[in-house]
Amino acid sequence: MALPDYSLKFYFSGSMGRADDHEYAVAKEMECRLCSCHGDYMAAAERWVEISNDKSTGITKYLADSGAFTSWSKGHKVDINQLIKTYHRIVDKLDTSKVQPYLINLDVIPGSKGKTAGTEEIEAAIKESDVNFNILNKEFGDIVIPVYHQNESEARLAEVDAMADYICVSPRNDLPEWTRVKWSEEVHSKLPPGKRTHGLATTGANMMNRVPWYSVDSAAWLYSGAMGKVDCWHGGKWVSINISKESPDRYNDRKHYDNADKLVRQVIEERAAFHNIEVSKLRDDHMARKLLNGLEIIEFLKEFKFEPKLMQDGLFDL
Amino acid sequence: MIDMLNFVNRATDQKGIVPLLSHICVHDGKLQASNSRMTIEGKCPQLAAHSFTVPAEKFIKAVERCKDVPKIERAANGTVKISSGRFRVTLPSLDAVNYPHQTFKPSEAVEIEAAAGFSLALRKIAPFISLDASRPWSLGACLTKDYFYATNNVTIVRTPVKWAGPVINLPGYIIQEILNIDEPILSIWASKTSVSFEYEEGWLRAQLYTDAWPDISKMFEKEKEFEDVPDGLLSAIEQLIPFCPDVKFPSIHFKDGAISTANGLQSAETGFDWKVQGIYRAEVLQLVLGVATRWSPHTYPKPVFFEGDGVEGLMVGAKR
Repeated sequence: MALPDYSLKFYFSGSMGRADDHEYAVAKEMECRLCSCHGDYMAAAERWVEISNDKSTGITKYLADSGAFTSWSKGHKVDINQLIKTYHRIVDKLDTSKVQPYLINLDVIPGSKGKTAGTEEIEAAIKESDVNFNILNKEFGDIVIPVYHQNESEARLAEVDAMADYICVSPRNDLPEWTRVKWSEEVHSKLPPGKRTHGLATTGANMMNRVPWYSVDSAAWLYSGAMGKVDCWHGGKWVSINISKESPDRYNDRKHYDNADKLVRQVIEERAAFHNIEVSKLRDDHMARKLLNGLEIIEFLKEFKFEPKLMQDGLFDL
Repeated sequence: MIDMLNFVNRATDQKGIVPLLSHICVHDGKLQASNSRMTIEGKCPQLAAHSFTVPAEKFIKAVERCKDVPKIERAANGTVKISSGRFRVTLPSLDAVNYPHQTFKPSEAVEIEAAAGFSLALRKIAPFISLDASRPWSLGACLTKDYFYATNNVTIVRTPVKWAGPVINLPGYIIQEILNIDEPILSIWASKTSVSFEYEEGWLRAQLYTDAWPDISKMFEKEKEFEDVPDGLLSAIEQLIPFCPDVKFPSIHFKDGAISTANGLQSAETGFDWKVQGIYRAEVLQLVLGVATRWSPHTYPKPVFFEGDGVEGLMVGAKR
């Protein structure tokens, strides 16, 4: 199934939580999929290889993440040799005549959780990340994507830029969104025009509107559904509201589908009907909510058109 | 007493996870509070007979609500009672000895000859201090021998002032407190990591940022061809700002004979008799033109120099 070439590649990430038809229903409309290869998620990553290969689905790009951050946050480290085997389990099974694989480099994250890394730790981590990049690049070729992080120098950006045609850019998750957006804009003002960049967890409205990403990824569609919400794209705006029958917000005025304004209820009902999903299912089943949220992102992407914006020059290096 | 309580309360941390940091310590006729980044102590002879540590906000509210001079007692069970007439408040308290008291002088600190115009210099550069934590060093002002510097990465300013202390990065939130206190500083003690300011009724001690500024010495050394900032420029720009189409990036466009917003669903333009080209963020222009009397607008797209009101600086514009 050939989908239109949207101006922004949006990688759907995260695991829906249950292997059933809902995955295929969203995959039919989905162009790009990101899966973590961390041990806990590997079964889902391999299942999504099969889904991606299925000719009835729209997936043409599969981005595999090493799971380095997940491991690091649990106090573990990913072994490069183990990761090569894991990545082979993905790449070797993908039908590359349909699906283009990409592999995120095995980043070495400096410091430990809850402790800010010092300059020496950052430098050592960068060196080790580059060693990993070279090993993976030798094994898999130019489908390996290096990562540039917010706490790294401008000179490092030039190095990462030189390493590959397609690079990941990772704003810090512990900073306010406006700072992350500003930094991401600055990064792009220092990269050659047209450089393909992937923004890790960069799907805030401003982030996508202001920064000329080639691709982004997000699992927000799943979190929202899991927390009992639906996000509907309507008239150029997102309408988000709790709908789960379990949500405590059903007792808060205008915070839930049950007590929402008539117009909001109408939007939810129209969007659900558009995707052939029953409203009662949205109330009962997180998978139905996740499906609706995923399909609505695709509706948003159909309309999304990146317009180049003014860029603010800065006096200092990144 | 209430003024001194409010003075010291600036240093409490009401949202933190360490309960003691939201307390005020009453001891030896003084009040002390600390949020671990900043400590403030003040004289309070009215409480000289007391020694305890209480939740700051509740204690202040209790004292404020007393219609007469409050009567304060500490019971044997450790509670503090604040009363006035038939009004009585009971608050939990701790022994003052359990409070992590700070001393006025940081270890290894030297006394700095209190610079004439120290607070005034900080007031001039404070609006230019960054709020962007992605460059942590820029969240404070750089105090050097001859100048105090501040930057938000789009503009950088400096103001001349003699500073006999070490080169330090004074956090912006401390500068804000110094400006809010707005009292004459009697003495300053500084080490590489801490600084203390003595006031007539108390003192403030603060942790300094350890992030060093990059080398900025050469930024101001370029040849400048200044011209006067035209009368009415700032008000012309402020006329246009509400109509900028991109609220996240309000921009002002200088062109021959006019000034305008960007084009969009809404836009605005006003005639202006000049020959200047350039695009700038609106709030940056407002900040700069709030002080500048002379500038070099023809250097755009390279940095534009400006000076006025005792500061000199440069700003960079936007680009397509």
